[in-house]
Amino acid sequence: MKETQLIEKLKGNNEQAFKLLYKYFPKIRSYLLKFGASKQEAEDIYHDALYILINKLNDPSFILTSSVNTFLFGICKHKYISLHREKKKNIDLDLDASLTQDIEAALKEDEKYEMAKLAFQKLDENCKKLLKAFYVDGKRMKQIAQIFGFGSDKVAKTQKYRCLEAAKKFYQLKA
Amino acid sequence: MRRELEILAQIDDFLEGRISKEELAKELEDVQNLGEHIQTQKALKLAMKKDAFMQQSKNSLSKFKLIKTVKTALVVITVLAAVIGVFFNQNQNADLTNSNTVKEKELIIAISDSLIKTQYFEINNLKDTLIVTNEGIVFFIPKNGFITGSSPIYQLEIKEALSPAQIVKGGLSTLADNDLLETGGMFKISAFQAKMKIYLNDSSFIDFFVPTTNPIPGMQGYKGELNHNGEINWTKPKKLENPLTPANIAHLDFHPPKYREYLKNKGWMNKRKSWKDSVYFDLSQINTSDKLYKVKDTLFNFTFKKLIPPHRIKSFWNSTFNHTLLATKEFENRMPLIHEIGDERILNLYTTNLNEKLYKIDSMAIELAPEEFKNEFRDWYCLKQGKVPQAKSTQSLMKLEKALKISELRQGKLKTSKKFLCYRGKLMSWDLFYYFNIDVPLARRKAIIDNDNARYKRLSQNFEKEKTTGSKLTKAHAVPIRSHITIKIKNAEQFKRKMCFAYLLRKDAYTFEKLAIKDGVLNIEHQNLKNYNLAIIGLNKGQHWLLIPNEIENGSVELILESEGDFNKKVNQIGSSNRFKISLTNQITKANKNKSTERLIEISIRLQISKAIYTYSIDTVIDKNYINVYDKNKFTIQTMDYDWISRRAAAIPTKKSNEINFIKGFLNTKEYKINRFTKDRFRVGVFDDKGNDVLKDKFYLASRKTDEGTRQQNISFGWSIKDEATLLKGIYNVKLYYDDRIISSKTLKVK
Repeated sequence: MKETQLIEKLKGNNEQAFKLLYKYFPKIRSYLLKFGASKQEAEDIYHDALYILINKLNDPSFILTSSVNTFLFGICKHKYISLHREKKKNIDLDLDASLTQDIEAALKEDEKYEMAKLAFQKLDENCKKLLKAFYVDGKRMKQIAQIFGFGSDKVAKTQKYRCLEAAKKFYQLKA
Repeated sequence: MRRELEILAQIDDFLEGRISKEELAKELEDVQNLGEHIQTQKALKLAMKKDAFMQQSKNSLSKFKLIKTVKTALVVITVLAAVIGVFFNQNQNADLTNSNTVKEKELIIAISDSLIKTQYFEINNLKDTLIVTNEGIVFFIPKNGFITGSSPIYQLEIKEALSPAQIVKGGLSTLADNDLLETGGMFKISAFQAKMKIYLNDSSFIDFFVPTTNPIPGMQGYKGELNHNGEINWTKPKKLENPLTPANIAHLDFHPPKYREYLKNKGWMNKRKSWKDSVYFDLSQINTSDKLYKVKDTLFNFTFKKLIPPHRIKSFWNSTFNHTLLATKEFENRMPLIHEIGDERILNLYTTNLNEKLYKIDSMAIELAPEEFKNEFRDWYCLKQGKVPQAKSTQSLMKLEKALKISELRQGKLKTSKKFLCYRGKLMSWDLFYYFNIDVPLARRKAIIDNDNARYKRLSQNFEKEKTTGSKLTKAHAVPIRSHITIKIKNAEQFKRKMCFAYLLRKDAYTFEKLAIKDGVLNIEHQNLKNYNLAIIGLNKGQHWLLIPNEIENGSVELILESEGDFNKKVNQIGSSNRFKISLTNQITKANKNKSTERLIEISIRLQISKAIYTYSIDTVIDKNYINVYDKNKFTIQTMDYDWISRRAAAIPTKKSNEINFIKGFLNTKEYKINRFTKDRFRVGVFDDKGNDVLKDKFYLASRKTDEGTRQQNISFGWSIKDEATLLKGIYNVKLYYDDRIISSKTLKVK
């Protein structure tokens, strides 16, 4: 598949195209391992990079000026550097200025939600599942009530409110 | 709802773009730190999405690792197998060759593959391609749809069976194990490059449109799998996609059907669209209220009973509404009925619910439609046609329209109507090289209709129970009478094995039950054979033998050699169910009705066109028998039946004694002017043959007016007769006074 086709399909949330992105993973992983990242860390960074790439591609104002591989490499490098500032000197960034600018902006934006992510992770499993069912899977309250065994959609709404309020409190504490 | 929950819900709506910032601010003006609330909720929502993404990404990575490991293991196994193979090959070479030959011989091939003609197409993988088959099936193959080698050119082979003759000649049946299906058509699509099979890309699919005139609800796509006899059994039903068929709105036709006929009769069909539109839109002044038209000395009152005003059509028939449900073939199909009903409220349902699924709007239309039209909307509702699919490029849209047009023309050969209706679906990679059948189980068809009917009942209290077309079907099908019939075919020996077979064809549905003939004998064990026709078929070297017995009974018969044309004609005749025939009859009747137009002399071109395309009634309001308004200085009297509630007189004057309650006078004169100062100076007197003023003091104050400006010099008066007074049968002399001076008189005969 050509790169332009790949990008188009990624924009359309094509699952097959998404799977193709893992072909870049072995190279990036060995690169990160070379600079001292653990296997788990390399994987986490790569998932983060994929998330940023997909989000950016869905942003109509964003234009990808490099190849997908370069962009992913760039994000992974920057992400790793931001996690280990002391190792920065050893890593050759070797990226053009505009791309660096794009990547730094994307990472900064992503970091904004890092605290929210931590707050969300603090919730108990049921709350997480309920909120995901509503906000990610787009399920309606009636369906949620059925899945979680609530008496009615009103109960589900109240439960969702409690979970979201708890997450908000955690978030405000972190902030 | 509690306020806290409401706040959350409102912010969710805002974040999903369902309400604007201003609306949110208005709704939550009492909430402090609203901005902070929004930011927190937004951040948490994105965090949840990211968390879900990470989870999914981790799963995908695990699969990726697993596949990589398996691939490596497979390479190792293949190398090992190759080494072992070389070793054994030296000893067992002869045996393997023999075994391959046996396999080749035993390979099962579908009978239909050799009996149905193949259509070949050469396709360029770098372009979007639309194919129209001989019988009108349309396939849309996307650019880069197939995985090809270095060359983008590949060959496509299509076999299709839509008509009874094709299905029978191909030896295809409509049985899914033991369930009888009602078919909407069968086809098979195969792709090759350098004689090797090629497949679709994982994410690609082929769109297909199978034309039909009688869409049946609940149709599914069945995949044909071969059994050990080489017969196809239909399995793995999957729902057909049911999006709408988009089209460029400018190419659709929303004119009333009668307008098209009118243009055709006038020989104006080839005029450019803008001209035809302008003539139609010029009728915008026409509405359902009465219209008066004058011809010589006669005034005609036309009442257009039901119509959709052309300006309403104009309001949406433009490019603004492209890519909406209005710019679809399905909506175009509904327009003739909407015109026929002439109820603007039904049109409004479609034009104001652009984001709804089409079948939901159909269900609302059922409520508004008059009783005799409800069933047509109900049939559409059962098709469950959805929304407009993702916008195709203008170019592919144009190609699709062209292809559907060609399909429309081609199906004209086979079907009874040219209106384009189709079953629509997607073929995935694994559907290639298999026969595909558009079917619905006969028993389920009834259940679907019943289920939907139950829903309508809930929707409307006033729903009137009506018989559905399917009710007969299942009742008959469920009658547990089994017949055992044996028929010997005298000349069966002249046909190769499997080339002599029989079909049971339902009289009331499009089904094909294939029966085998063994050793020249046809054994039928079946329920209620009265509902079926039997066709016994023999095929030999391109020649067709056929027998359609009048009664299905025991005995021996001989097949008769038929020309291909006769064979097709006879099989199509008994294979097409009554539903098609009934539909054909209805359409012929409808066509004849439309041709019978009343001839009326009319000077207005607009009225002429309106009369041709809308239903109307016509009353002569005034003609010279009643009044000759243009004879100078002549006084004319009219006696009327005046309705005080609606404040209108009957359209035609009356001379019947028991109907007269109002007297109207007309005077054509220059001498007397009528205005608010002079109106009370006019008076009317009705005298019997003895000279008695029979209605003296029995008039209410007259309403009076002049028609000056429209019909010059004509003065009109009206006097209503008091309740207790009656103008009895007889001849009267009616005199018109100005002050006490008689200015005119007229004789009046009351029946």
